[in-house]
Amino acid sequence: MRYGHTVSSLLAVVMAFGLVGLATAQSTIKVPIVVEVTGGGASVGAMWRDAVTMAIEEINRKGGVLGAKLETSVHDTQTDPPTSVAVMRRVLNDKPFAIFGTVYSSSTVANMDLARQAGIPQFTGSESIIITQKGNDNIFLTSFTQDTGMAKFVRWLTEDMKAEKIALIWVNNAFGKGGHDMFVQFLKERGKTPAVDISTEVQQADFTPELTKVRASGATHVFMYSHEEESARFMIQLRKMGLQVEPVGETTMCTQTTITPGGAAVNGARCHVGLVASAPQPAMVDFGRRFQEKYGRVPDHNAYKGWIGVHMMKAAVQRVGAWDQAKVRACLHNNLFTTVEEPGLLMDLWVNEKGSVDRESFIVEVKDQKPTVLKTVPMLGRGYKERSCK
Amino acid sequence: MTDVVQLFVAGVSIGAIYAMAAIGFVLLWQTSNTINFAQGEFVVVPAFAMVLFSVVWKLPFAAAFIATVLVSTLLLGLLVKEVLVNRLLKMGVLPLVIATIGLSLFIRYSLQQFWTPLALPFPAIFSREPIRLGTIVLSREELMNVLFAGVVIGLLHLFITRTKIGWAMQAVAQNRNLASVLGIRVSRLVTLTFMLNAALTAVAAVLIAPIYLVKYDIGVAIGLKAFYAAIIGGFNQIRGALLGGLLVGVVETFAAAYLSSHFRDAFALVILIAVLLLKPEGLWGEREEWA
Repeated sequence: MRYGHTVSSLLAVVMAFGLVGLATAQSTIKVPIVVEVTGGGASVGAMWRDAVTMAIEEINRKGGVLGAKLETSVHDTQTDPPTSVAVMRRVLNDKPFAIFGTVYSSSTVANMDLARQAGIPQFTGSESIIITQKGNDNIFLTSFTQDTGMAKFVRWLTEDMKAEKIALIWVNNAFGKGGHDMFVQFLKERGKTPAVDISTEVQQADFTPELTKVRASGATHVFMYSHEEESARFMIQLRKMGLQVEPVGETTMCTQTTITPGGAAVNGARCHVGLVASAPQPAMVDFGRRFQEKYGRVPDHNAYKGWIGVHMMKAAVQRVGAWDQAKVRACLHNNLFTTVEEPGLLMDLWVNEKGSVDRESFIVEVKDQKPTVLKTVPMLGRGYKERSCK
Repeated sequence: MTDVVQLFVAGVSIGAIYAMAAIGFVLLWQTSNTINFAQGEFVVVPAFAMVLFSVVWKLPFAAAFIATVLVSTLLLGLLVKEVLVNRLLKMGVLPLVIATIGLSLFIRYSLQQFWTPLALPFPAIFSREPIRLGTIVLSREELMNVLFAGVVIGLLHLFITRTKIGWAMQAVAQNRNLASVLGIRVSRLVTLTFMLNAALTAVAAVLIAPIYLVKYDIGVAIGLKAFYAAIIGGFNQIRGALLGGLLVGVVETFAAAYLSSHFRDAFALVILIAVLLLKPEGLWGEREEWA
């Protein structure tokens, strides 16, 4: 009897400790950030990192998600795809709930299979069509893939801008190649081809040779599809050479990370952008203001993507009602999430079966070194519906 | 024709900046047998200093420029010479080379960590309004860069060939021991050379920053191209470094325009390899006999 009592007491103590341990484990959810802290993508990575961190801090301040607090850590990929694979492998050993990053498509293409094999949902800032073409049901984009973005961009460029001779300059990596292929395809569907088609390198500093070719082509518009710093350098050199072409862009050309270093040279550029601080959406303006107060700089689209990515996860977890990775992953496909349900999403968004999103976007023109919204572009698809996940 | 002229001006403009950094390589090698692999970062630091003085503290351009040159000469010239070079030089060339590689990494990642990983805006020094000569359109900024760099290199040449300090520097370059016997204070002269190099890189920074933008890692490409330029032109001749810089700038610009922009950086390497194989002393360098 005494033996039985002792055993049951010990069992109770062990169970109590076990439950306490379980509760402790459940009260903190690991969501590491794997991102470009150094290297060519450092400016982009800094925006993503800061916005994800800010979202997590604010969510925790409001009590967390389903009673659990989020815990993050930052892991640098050095903007190098092989390094991003090694970093991802290390991060996955900690068994996080989800991964936030990477932003550069070349890295995401390289590392996303690891997260899929581990069954850990990955929220990325990448946009390359190559990512969704891989058929990975574990990856979730926080912005348009290039098939959505370019479809909207080409429609605006040809219908609203009436552009006839368009020079195309693109960066030769996964991001640039995906965008290039989509742009050329959509242009071809409208019976057009680029006046000149020039690829450039990541971190390229001098664009004089490329601009010389643009001038020789007689193009009326030049579409620069590269990263932010390269876009800024390109605009400076376009003005310096006095080319009489109208610069247009898809997101990166008119983002704040391009405008700040490019200065007045970026004025006059017109772009299709998915996310912008000057959007006529109070929630976006409010996020932009708070980000600027916290970090002392205007958020660009990468910051918005990071912020929205965390809230996509939060919305899905809340809809599922549990911290269940498989259910959250299933919930995030073919589903509409609204700002009524989760204000942190900033805009209603549809996530398709490939993990790419559709939502409203904007046509902006850079005036006085600020992107000014000219037009709101509706979602590309229609009839999206919310689906319960419980 | 328009394109050729414009490309040539662009190539000479960027080449002149490579040349200034390359001349720094040559100066340091000649007087102290130092190969400074932090030369690219020696361009980056004054660029950041210029942003601090001109953009953050809003000093007038001239004041900001003078302050930048002063900071650069003291920090990258005097301090590096006294703290790093003096201690390591006696151990031979290799420890110093490794130390400068370490210094370049230290500077690069300190700027990234403690300042910003973002590209910073840098105000245009010269007007960006292009000059139109009939059908030819030239970049005023590039022409002014060439002019400014030309004046600075010209003054440096006069300093080295027409002043007593310059003659002393040449003497040290030719034979340190003999120069010492002749009463030249070699250590002080080496310090002066380091300060001169730092001033030169400060000028290069001010010229290149409006084009490249100010970012912690821009020094990597500049340092590498300047190193190629110094070897191509001749590591022991200032005129060689000048020629090498201009050649690298012009060749990479024309190659990117008419061959392939993907291999822009490779063309400088091709020239480098060809020069090393066919004329190892450089195109305008002088053959040195090993004792």
